[in-house]
Amino acid sequence: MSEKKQKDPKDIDLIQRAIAGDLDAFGDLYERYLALIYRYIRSRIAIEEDAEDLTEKVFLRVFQALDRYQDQGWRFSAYLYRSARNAVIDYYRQYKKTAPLEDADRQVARIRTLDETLIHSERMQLLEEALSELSAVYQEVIRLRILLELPTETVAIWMGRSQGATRVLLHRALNALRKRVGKKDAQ
Amino acid sequence: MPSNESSWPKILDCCLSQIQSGQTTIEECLRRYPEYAQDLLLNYKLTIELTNSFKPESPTEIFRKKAKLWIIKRVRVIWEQRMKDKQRSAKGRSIRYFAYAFAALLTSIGAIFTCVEIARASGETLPGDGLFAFKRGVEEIRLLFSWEPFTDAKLLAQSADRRLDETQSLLATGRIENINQVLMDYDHSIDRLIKLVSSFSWVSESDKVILPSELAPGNMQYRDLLALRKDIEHHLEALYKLRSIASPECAQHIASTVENGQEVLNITSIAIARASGGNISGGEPPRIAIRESSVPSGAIGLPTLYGTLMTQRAASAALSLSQDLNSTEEGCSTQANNRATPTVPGMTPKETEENATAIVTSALPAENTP
Repeated sequence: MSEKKQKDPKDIDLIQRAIAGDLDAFGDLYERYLALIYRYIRSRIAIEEDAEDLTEKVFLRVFQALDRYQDQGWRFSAYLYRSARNAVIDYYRQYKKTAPLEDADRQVARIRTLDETLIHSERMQLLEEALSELSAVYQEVIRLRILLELPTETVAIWMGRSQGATRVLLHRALNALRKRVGKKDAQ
Repeated sequence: MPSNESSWPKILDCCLSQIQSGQTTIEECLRRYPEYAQDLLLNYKLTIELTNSFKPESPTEIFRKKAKLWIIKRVRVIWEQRMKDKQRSAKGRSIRYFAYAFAALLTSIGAIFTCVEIARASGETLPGDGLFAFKRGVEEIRLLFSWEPFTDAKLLAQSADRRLDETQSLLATGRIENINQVLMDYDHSIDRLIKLVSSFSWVSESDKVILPSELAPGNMQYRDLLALRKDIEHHLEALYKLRSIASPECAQHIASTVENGQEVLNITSIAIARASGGNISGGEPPRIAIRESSVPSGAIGLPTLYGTLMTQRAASAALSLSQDLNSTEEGCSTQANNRATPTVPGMTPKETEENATAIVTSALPAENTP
């Protein structure tokens, strides 16, 4: 957990400047993390415009709460990740108002445009179904470690686990996915 | 399935990391870990499938630029709004603080005014009245907030005076059932006064008596002390009289009161005797045994202290009390409407009154002029 306490000094400098009113410093932070946060959101939301809107909202939300970040003791990227994750959950809540939190968290990017659906291969559909049947935490570790290709250390910090626990989690998630894909193949 | 469960996730993770970063290939990993080769290959294929199917796109360059401009613009608006809010809230806060302070001031003034009015209204109350507890409370609070021992002594003496006044008023209004309690309170006040006086430094355990330098025959303090002794004797005589005609229950309370009064008289008499060179000037020696005390030089002004201890007012109140009790049938336990019946066995009410007056008159000391 000590990893959580570590902060990138450059990030901290930028954050302090942004808090003091240097808005360009926040612009730098935005550029630094835009791709990462956008890709995470995009991995969960298929509609590009929605993903873009959500990304902007996340950064705005983070700016508004920047004063409070100092007390968190988390890396800024992890702070952004948590905001993005909550924003996605809110998005699915709005999309399907009756959906409980768990369901919202389990959502894989199912909302696809017609064109996207047409070009989806049968294999991809099978994978998507198998992935959506996994628990939220298995989906998340696969999303972060495999789809976003984040290093284990970052994934561990973002998910609030040790690196060892994250490796085991990834191993179990892949095994579970393989089993489900195997079953679906057999059918 | 690999045999070592704990190392297998690490190997898998290590291989994936190295392949992702281009440091190695799957073939190399399979060669390196032949015992995990099968699982490694299956998992690798799955990750490739996942990546090919669901790997999220990076943001477009257009979005990057557009979004940055938009974000900075929005952030600037938020920042300016925040600054305005801060200024406004600082202004609002100062106005709010002023309003709170003003409200607190008004409330305090109202509370003080109410307390003063209640205290004033409670001044004339007697035991058994609704505001009597408030009156006693005010007395105790005044004692609590008095830091000077002399002020304490003065307040306790005033409290004792009030109890005597109340006794008189209770008798006058026929509310005799509370008299015992009032006399006990009176005793209590005197007890506290004695304790307070005993704690003062000028009453030491030594038998040596060293008078304060300012106390000498002829000066004002000496005269005050003589007047005080007269008051106390006056007071005590009234209590003697009261005791002789009161019911046994009432007499018991009065006896302890007398005892306390004697204590004060003793100390006063010693001071006078020492100041006048061993003789008690201007009158008869006290009928009460004088105990030795020491009075260190430069100590507090005795007359000032004792002057507050038992006042002429208290003595008068006690005299009135004795007259009232004289006219009751059974002292403390008799209703006021039975006043005409004599209380001293073998005496008519008139004889009793004459007797009482005679005793009190004889008890009054002659004018003492050093």
